[in-house]
Amino acid sequence: MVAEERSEPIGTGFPAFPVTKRKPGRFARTWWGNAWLQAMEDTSLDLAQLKRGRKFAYAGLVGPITVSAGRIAAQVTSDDGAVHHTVVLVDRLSDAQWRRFLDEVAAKAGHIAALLDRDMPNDLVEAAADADVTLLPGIGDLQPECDCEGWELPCTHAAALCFQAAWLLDADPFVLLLLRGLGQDDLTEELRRRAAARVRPAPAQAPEPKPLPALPPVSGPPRKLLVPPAPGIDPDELAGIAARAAARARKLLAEHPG
Amino acid sequence: MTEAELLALHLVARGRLLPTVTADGYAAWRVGPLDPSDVDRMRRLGITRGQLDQVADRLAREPGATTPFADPVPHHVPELRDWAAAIAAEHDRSARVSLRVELTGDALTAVLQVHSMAEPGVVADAAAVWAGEVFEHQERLDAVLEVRRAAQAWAPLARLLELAVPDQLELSDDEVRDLAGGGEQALAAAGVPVHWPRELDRDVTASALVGGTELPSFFDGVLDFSWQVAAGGAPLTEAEMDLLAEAHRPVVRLRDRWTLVAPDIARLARDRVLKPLTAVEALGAALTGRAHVDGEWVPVAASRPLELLRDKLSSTETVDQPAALTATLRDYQLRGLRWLARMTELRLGGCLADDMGLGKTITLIALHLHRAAGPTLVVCPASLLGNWEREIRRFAPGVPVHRYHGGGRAIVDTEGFVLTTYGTMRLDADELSTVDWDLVVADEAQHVKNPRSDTARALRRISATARVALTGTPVENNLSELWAILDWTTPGLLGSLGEFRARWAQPVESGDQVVAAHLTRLITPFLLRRRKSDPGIAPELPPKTETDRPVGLTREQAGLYEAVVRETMARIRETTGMQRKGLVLKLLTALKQVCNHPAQYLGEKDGVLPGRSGKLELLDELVDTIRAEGGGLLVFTQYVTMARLLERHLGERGVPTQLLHGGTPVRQRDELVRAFQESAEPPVFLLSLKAAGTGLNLTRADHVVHYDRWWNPAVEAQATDRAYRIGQDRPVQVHRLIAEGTLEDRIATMLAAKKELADAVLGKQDDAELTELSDAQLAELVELREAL
Repeated sequence: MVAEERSEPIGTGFPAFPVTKRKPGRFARTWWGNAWLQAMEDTSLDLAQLKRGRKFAYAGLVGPITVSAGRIAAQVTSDDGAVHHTVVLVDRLSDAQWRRFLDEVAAKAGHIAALLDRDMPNDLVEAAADADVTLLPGIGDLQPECDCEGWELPCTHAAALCFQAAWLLDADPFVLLLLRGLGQDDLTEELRRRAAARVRPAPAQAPEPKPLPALPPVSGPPRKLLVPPAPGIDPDELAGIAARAAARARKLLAEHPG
Repeated sequence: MTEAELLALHLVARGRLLPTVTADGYAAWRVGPLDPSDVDRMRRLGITRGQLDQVADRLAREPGATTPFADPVPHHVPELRDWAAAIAAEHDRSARVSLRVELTGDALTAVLQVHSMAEPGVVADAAAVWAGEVFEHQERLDAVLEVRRAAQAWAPLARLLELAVPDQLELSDDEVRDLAGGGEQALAAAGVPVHWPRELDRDVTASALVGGTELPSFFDGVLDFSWQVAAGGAPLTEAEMDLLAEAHRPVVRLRDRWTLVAPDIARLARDRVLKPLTAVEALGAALTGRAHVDGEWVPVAASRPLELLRDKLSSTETVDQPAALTATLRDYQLRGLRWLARMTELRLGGCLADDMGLGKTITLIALHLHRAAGPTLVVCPASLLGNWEREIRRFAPGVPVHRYHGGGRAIVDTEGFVLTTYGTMRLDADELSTVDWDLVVADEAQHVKNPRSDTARALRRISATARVALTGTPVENNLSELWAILDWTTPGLLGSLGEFRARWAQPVESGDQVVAAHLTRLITPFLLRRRKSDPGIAPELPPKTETDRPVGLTREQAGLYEAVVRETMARIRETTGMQRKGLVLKLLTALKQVCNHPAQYLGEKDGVLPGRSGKLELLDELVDTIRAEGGGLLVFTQYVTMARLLERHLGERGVPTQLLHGGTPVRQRDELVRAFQESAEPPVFLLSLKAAGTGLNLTRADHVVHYDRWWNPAVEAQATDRAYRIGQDRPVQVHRLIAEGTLEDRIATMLAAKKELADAVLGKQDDAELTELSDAQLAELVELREAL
């Protein structure tokens, strides 16, 4: 991987988190989200400050967040209404470390599948750690910068931003990789390059196209529609619409054996 | 239908429908995910995605809905774009995977294959894809995502993801069993087909076998019943089934081929002997091709005993009309007789469920004569006793017939017919069971439709060589009634009530067509139903059939009748001239009213109506049967008061009626006629014969009841035929209610026997001529006698 070929990526923007109800149990949903927070706690000097930061995170005081390689930034509103520009810098991994990380990703077919499926496999992180690639930031890897006048380290605003970063990580483990210096597109591009390293032989003759068979009769139950929820969208209702449409289609097909 | 529409329907029918947001932000539906075969089809037929999406979108909308994706008017939802994009990414992959199972020795390996949507028709092993020999990087990523998703349907697949190159899996015995036993279906549902090697024989099926080569001596025996496993359709020998039963591994060497045996089949091979079937159960299996084993329906293999059973049922010996029958059976009645003759010969019993008026009674009488085998017990409602006796005497003269009913009853000698009522049978079932009946007939069998009632239980205690049920109601429409009747005629055919409910009634009522078809096959040999409107039947029916319906008087009626006769005759003997004429007319009128209903004679406004008049009881029977057929019924009476009593009585029974009499205004009259003519289930139409006038069109009528009579047949016939035009569109049955043993009875006999003389005696002026009779003649006319 060649650093100079890689352009400085533009930040990826995420909309601000609204006021959120506190849930019981851990702050983050995924194990890596919580591991990020653990890392943050380990590097912080002031646990009371972190608690205040967590309150801010729930209170909808953090604005839209921008994430780019090694950097996470947002505008955070204070108790007194003042708005601050807050940045947390994250140490990036070296090129050599990324090469070793990609070796680990390629070692098992399931790893890239998991990542694309928004899941960070535990054994990938461990294998990477064995190869001296720690994905999660350690002491000294996080550096908050805020234009507020707080003495604490991190300040409440930076703490709030770090907490919300955990939520971003929950939704997409690639955010962690981006913070450590490598975006998703670059990662998949690199994997592709490795795969295309061999010379591709001439494509085999396309097989003789067989005659087009008739449509087989529909058998077995129709595939159930599974979609994630969204505001104003009930996944069960959509599944019901699709199922009823399937029934109507079957009836029509029975009446017109094409 | 265009090719595009056909393909779109096929996709939607398979559940390949996804919600999406259009470029301009509207909620819509599109087809997806597509299989490579779908993409191939699109390419070859020039069908675009847009065409398919359009059809799918139209199909998914639901009129009247208001939610974003169901509303026929599309909602503007640009905020859902990201959500729609995520769905697209999740479902629309560029690659599909499948498993190719290979056989090396007796071990199986599953090789991962990749199919590309970009090049449908091309399949490559994962190893080749990962080696870069074929397809692009995107297909690789989508292939591993597919494997990850499919691993949720079948867990062992996850092992592939542990490899750098997910090329193949060695399958353990358990995994092979799991894959063959259900894993394959789960993977297919997840879009990952499994291809087994050709050298591995998978065509191993099990069916139930009714064993032996002959039938046991009639329907008292049992037949062997066991599981039969077949490979490639050829049944295995006992030794081969033992081999399967003892095999430890799922892949077994059978007949020189490697065979995959699903765990459930191996289990059947081990426990193959099943509980023996009764002959009636085997008959059920012969008719439907299935048997119920361990809570499930299983196919039954063809075998000799089943063939023999089927042959027995369909044998057609010719049966001719019995010589002793004094009438000629119509063709369809002869067919009914043949069917009953066969079923009773086999001791299987049956239910004749023809419409009223088609001649069930005469068919039964013919059956008795044909069998010439012993006494026949007829159980019927009290109001029909008279009818049975009359028809037996008429069509089988010389055959003994007695009524076993009322106080002082006894079973006299047992030949010919014994008639009894449901009520009497219930009380005296023990006495009746001491007789060796050849046939027991349940007339209007819907009276025992409740299998738990004492009456139904009592009926079952009476044994006979064969049992026949007669009913005019469409019994096949009500499954529990069907069970009650067929379980009595042919015990064991439908199983216990609980079994019947679980195996037949529930699935049929929930709309299962396959089970409904099997049930029809099972009961068809045991139920014969013809309707008046059937093409073979209607031409054989005359436009108008008239039947006299004798009924008995209740005790109250008999008492009143005798009192009126005694008192009025005494006064008549003492008077002459005009005064005498007046008294005679008064006598005749009073007696007619008593025969109709005591409440009419006594002038009661609000009395209790049921249970006091034989005519009313029979009318109820007729109304029930006719309404169950959906037929139109006219009831004629001379008296408006009687019509109003009938109106009240039927109303109390929940039967809709309408009343037309002299005072009904013309406009209302037209309304009533229209309501009757145009209704699928018309109200019972009560009419006063005299006052209704001419020119009403009542061709919707199938039945006419003359509750009481004019005694001039010509006027009566004229009024009914011309005035109402009945019998023009459809055959009509006319029932004349006659109180047995009374003057009505005697006059009816006279009318039937000597038409010309009757005309001379009665002339054209109703009862006027009767006033000329002498005292002695009058006394003889009105005397109350026992039923003939």
